[in-house]
Amino acid sequence: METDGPPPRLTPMQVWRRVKDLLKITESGAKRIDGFGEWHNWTKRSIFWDLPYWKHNLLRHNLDVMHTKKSFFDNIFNIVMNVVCKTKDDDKARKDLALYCRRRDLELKAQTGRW
Amino acid sequence: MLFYDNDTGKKDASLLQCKFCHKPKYHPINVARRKKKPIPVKSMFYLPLIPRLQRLFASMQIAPHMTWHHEKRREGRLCHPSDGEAWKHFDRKHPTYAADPRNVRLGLCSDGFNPYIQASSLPYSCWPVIVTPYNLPFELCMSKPYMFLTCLIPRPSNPKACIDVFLEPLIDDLKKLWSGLLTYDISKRQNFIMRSNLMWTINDFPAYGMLSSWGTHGKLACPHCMEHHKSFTLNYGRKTCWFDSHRRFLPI
Repeated sequence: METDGPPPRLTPMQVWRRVKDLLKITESGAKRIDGFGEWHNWTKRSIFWDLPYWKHNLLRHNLDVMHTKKSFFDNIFNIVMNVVCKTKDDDKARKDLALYCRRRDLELKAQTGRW
Repeated sequence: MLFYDNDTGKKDASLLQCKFCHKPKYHPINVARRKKKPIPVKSMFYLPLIPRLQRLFASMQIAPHMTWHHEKRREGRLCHPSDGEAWKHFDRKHPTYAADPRNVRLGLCSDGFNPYIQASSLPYSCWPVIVTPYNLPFELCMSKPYMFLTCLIPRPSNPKACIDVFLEPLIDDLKKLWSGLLTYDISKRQNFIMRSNLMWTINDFPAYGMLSSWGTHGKLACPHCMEHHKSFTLNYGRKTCWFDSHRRFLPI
């Protein structure tokens, strides 16, 4: 079970200190930044940081309800209702389950070849 | 890059090649053959935002509502973005800006969509960028007449991180709006300096990566956890997984 606390919440100024040295797309063209995908995922300095008040905004980017709620619901609903071709409850998921969970009754039984 | 001039010293409209990749601005065959105007390789639409914001104050029906977020006190209830902490934090940081409730707070939304879904099977992704004012009461806020389509980015493929290039005219207008523009308010029958700020952007997860510049793919996809992530790749599913990571945000 996960017992660690949540990751630190960065203030807008802390984020600004991280991105201020990155290059903007409009100044440099699309270039890959060193260490991308290894210790950071920055692709550029977003053009919104050009706005003088952007570093005082607490919530800079939001995810909208339609996309999060509907996709979330669809995925769970398709698994629970066992929708053909949409369910994620397949053999791969059952094999992974054996590695990360203690749910013996849900694991894939090898000898019969059936769930 | 975008071939356009702005008021702050950018003079790119007359260039014929991209400054970074040196690709031509116009279709090369057409430049030699055609006597008429050459055809650009790619073009976007920008529908100016400033006149539409000023027009809100020119209408007797809308102008009185533009101060609604300040006048109607809703103690202890959350029913409008102005009740939220982000809005109050911004007001504390910019007291002179918050002093005039007529200043327009804006939100920005963007998402890709395919206008020809029935006509063609080719993937085509068109990106409208919509700006909406938050000053209005909640029954008018974010309703159809008050959603301003500002940029329309037509292209066959997703703009990815290069969406910034197309947002440049909008950002220039937003900078102008932050410094203030003379506007006539018909409900009070006086001129005033209208200022405006962008509160936040709203979009889905892939667009989040494009606008916030933190890529939302791979093991570092979570823009909140950043490098403190606890993701791993599933052995059989071959997908990145954040199993049990939600527990970190819950009390033990």
